[in-house]
Amino acid sequence: MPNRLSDDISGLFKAYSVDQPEYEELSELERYQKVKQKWQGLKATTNPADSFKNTNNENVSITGNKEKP
Amino acid sequence: MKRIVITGIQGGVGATTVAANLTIALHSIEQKAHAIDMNPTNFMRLHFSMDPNNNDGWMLRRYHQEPWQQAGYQNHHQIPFVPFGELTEAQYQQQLTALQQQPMTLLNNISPENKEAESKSDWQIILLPEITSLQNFHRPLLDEADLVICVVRPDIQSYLSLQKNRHYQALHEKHNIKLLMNAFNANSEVSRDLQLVIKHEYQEMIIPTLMHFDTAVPEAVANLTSVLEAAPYSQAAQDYRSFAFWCLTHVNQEIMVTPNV
Repeated sequence: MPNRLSDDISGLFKAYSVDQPEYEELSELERYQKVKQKWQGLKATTNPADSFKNTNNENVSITGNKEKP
Repeated sequence: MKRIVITGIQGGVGATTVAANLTIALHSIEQKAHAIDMNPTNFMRLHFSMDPNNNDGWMLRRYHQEPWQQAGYQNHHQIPFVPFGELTEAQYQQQLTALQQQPMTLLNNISPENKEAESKSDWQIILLPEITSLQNFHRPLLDEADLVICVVRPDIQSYLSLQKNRHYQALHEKHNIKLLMNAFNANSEVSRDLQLVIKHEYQEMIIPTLMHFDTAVPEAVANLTSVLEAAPYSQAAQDYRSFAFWCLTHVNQEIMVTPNV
């Protein structure tokens, strides 16, 4: 009789000695937020696009969204 | 003529390598391109098989009051380039002062005299010094460029320069700069992380072609050649061909959108 699907997956994990069985797929935004907290040099910096949203009402963004005249 | 101006967010990011290999990669896709080295370090010639003991260059010709075009050379594949030249400190300072007093001189010198006769399909690749070393006579070149590229590395120095360097901020306010990420090392955690952060925060400015770190590049330069000629199937050579295609489509698209510019 064939193994149930869950048995197969457990077998695969055992066979490949998975280090992080609780691995979760992260979105790019989640990865970005984790990385910003990982390195001391990045912790105190801000995303220029965010500071633009908070402080600037002009049509020019620091991330390059320049409107052509 | 389509003009691409290349600078670096700081010294050592690989702007010279990018400028030289882009010129050669444009040739590899049947484009006519020439390169002009305006960085006093004068290292572009190493990618074009020029003898390191040869001190000739446009700045030296200028000092001797000779036409700058006489400092034009070709590599083994007939790709034209103009080195900066080696000057003494006194010679260099004299020329620097003269150029600062007449900031339009450089642009006028390298622009075709007969605009009607110039070929619209030709490419001119100009290498400038890093952003912190730009002079007032470089500004007209930036103003007249079809594309301004600033080379950055996925490291904390480049990232902080993008955030805080006043020279970069001033340049960014006046020009529609594109950022090229160079020397990305997939084996390095910090390189992967900084690439993600820079891409996320500067996504509108980032050129989609990522230039990977490849030892074939310094090996090629050590042999006085370009990576496209020394290792045509390397990762770096493939990156440069992709980058050349991106430049081709991007600049042509811009010209089609703004036909009178």
